[in-house]
Amino acid sequence: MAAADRTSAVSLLGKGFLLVYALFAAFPIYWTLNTALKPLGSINTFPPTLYPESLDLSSFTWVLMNSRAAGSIIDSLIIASGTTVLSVLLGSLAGYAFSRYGDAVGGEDVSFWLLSTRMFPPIAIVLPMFFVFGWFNLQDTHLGLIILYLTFNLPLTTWLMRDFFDKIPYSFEEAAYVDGYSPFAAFRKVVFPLVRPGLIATTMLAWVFAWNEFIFAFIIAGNDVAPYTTIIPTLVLSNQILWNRIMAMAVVVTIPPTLILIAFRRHIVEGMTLGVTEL
Amino acid sequence: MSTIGENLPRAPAIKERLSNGRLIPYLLVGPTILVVFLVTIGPLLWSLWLSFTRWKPGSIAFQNPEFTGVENFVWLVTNERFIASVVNFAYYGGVGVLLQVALGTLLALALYNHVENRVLRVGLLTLFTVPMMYAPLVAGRIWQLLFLPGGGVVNGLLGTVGLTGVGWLNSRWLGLTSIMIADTWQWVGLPLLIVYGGRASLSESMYEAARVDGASRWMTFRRITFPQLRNLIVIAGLLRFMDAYKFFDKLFIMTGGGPGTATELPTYFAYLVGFQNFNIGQAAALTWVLGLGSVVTLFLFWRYMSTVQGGTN
Amino acid sequence: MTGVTIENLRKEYGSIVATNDVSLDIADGELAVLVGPSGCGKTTTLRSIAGLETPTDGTIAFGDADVTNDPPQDRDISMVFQNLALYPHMTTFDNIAFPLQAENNASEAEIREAVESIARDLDCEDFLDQRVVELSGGQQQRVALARALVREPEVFLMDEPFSDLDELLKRKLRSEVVRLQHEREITMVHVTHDQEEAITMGDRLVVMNGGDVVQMGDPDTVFNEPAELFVAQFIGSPQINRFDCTLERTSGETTLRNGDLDFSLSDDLAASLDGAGGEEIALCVRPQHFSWAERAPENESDGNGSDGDGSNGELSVPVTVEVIEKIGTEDVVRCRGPNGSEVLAVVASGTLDEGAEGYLRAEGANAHLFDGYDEHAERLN
Repeated sequence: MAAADRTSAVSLLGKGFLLVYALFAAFPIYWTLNTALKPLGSINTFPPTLYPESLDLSSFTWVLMNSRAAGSIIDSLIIASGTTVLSVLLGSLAGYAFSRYGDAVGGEDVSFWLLSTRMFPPIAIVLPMFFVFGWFNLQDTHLGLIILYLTFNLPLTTWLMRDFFDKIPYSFEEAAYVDGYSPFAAFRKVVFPLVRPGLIATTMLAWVFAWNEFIFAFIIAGNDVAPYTTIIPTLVLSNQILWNRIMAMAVVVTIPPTLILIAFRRHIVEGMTLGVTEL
Repeated sequence: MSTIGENLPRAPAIKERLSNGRLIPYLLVGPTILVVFLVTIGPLLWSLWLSFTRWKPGSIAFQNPEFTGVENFVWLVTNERFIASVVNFAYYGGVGVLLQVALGTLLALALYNHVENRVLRVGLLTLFTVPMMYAPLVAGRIWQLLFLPGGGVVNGLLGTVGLTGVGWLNSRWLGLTSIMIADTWQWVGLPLLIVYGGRASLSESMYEAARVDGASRWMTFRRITFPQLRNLIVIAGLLRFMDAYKFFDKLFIMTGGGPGTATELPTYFAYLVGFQNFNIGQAAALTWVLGLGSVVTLFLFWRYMSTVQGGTN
Repeated sequence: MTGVTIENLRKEYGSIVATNDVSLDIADGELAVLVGPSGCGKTTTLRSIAGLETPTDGTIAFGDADVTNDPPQDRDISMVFQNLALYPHMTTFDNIAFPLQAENNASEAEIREAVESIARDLDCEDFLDQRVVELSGGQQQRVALARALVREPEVFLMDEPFSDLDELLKRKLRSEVVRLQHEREITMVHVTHDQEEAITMGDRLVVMNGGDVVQMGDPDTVFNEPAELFVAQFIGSPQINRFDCTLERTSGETTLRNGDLDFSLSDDLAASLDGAGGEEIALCVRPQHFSWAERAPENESDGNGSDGDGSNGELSVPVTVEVIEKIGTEDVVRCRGPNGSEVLAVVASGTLDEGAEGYLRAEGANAHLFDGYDEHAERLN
């Protein structure tokens, strides 16, 4: 009986802890929405108003209608999608080679070396690239950022795709070869269908990383081409921070990554943890 | 590969395909290596070169860098602002990562052990991990709003229960701690997911055996759960620690390194040196030091992973 | 040590009934074996004794103490799990020491002594310092047994721990467990789906089917006097021969008819059919009880045909030998009987050839009669 009582006490403690943390985790998300729905005057009042007294959608209208705000979201979309297509395409090919012909192309060492380039602070890369982009007129262009974003996405997609290919036994392909299929046909009919979930997760993850990038965009672009992350720090009107517009923007730009997480949770998790865990 | 084809009528065809395919691996890897060289390795090496040079004062254009040997590195290790930023980094990377990993572990175990309802469990898991998908800059902006000294909701809520608010972002240690809280909110999901996955992979009958053997809850955790999750917890910590080297966005938006230079972290300092003072050489030296630290951490991570995997097989 | 009493144990998982109404009484120091096909409720019963399941209804008592709602920690038990459930990150020593350390009142030296003593008993000494994941299946099995036996619990439980082992190892470990159980007079409950294991190990068999106990008794009783048709067919290898017959009574003569085959029953057997519920009677004969005859038994009472009868209570079936399976000193012969049915017999090795024609004969005393064809049909004689 004593053990049963202790068990329920611990369980209660655990549930309480989860509840408290859930409130902590949810509050900022709620407050973002709450702030976005208020007129500027009723933000940051004392005592705080825990819910908007009237729904003011003007901030959202501004995000979707204002050419600078909406334009920045479109810029982010173009850049994130462009760099994702390139990095997933190249990374899948390289990941496949590292997985299947590991030794021929340098094996673990080269793929590790690739991943390690991702560990350098972006500033290290952007210092010289700042000048290179000057020569090629790539500053403030979509293409420039698409290329720059490959620096963190290409090692990621290569590493993850290698990991996903590694999980498909080579004997599947061997069986297809023995059955008379060409390597290409074997890939298309056997490997591709099996790797598709991993490929989708990799794509989504690469897209989210590019979508959320700030420092490259801030240094290399921000005028003609201005991803949303470069807009978020700015919105100030005569010394007043336009919190409602910023938070409306925050709500809008966090919707796609949130949906991606909900839809692809299992695989995204694997990607986020560089293949350490499968949930 | 050749042994597979040998006894088969189609063997010559297969061999031929494979020998023709000897170039295939290089064709597959080639474009990626090329791109990485052009956009990453090349610039990094260039940065390395830059770290041994000085730029003529006032000259922004890319010309006439003057080779100065290790002068930039000497400057770096004697620079008080840099040393202060490294101390901040140690605080953030030590305490902050520890906090995230400990909290993530506790949440993962509580979630696994005490939430039976599957829908609720997935719901909480999603809630705890969704901030990971936010842009760090956006997460920082949200927390900046919460922490505003006058009118921010955190101080507002403290005020309604009769407590005086504090300037969350207006001093060195409290400022760093506030940033750490925001960062924990965003990234606790990573250790959580890793530990949760690890716990889920432990056999349930092992826990039944422990109950039958008369082990208390504490003994079960100390002798069975923790030893088997320890490796994953370390891995989660290293993954988070590696990100600390690059920490920029939240700092930029929440304190801008301020007040003064009090909350600067090395990457942020490098940005200021490079893009506000245009001391490109010094900034390059700084980023290389950071990059090497980060790669060493990654190397430790990798070594650790392979010994762990080697050990369990 | 203490006995275990289970009364009206019922366990439901949602709409699935794992055990329906199980009552049993295991005496102090007895080795009871719960045996039955998968899904019969034997593991649920065992896990309920361990406290790993909370019964939907019913009570479990150790001696006089009701333990129905006690968690496993508060019951004085030890258990060997089907998948062993060793602690993979620990050494053999630490695995075995774990239950002692949980008790929290033994000194380091006492623990070491106890672990080494049981390790000697179970041949685990050589790998005490190795991690258990590095051990072979048989070694892991020994560690699991040692971990369970290192204490002296009131009740010792085993959930099919031998099912993954090869035959030789299985036999060896079985006899070691039985030896230790007898030496220490441990109350032991063992679960298995292997009827041979049940017969060789158990002081008492508890045969389960469909969530209920269908027969309890010592192995001889269960083998020789199966209570239900299910038990007759489940216990014994090769499986018992079964003839689904219809009962015919004519002028003091009682005959069981199976197609072209009929069996005239002795008076004793005939009398046992008085309690039969209908015309359908299943007649069963164990293959071990058949013997081979070249020619039909002589018919003295009537000319009831040559295709099989037993006027003096003997049963006889004309057959052709089809396949002979050698099992050491004996052969299992698979024969084709009348009506195309398969009849099995066990005979001394090398006495028969394939294609031989003759008669399989058994004494009436070795016939088992059941009241119907259903698996729940009760034994009549």
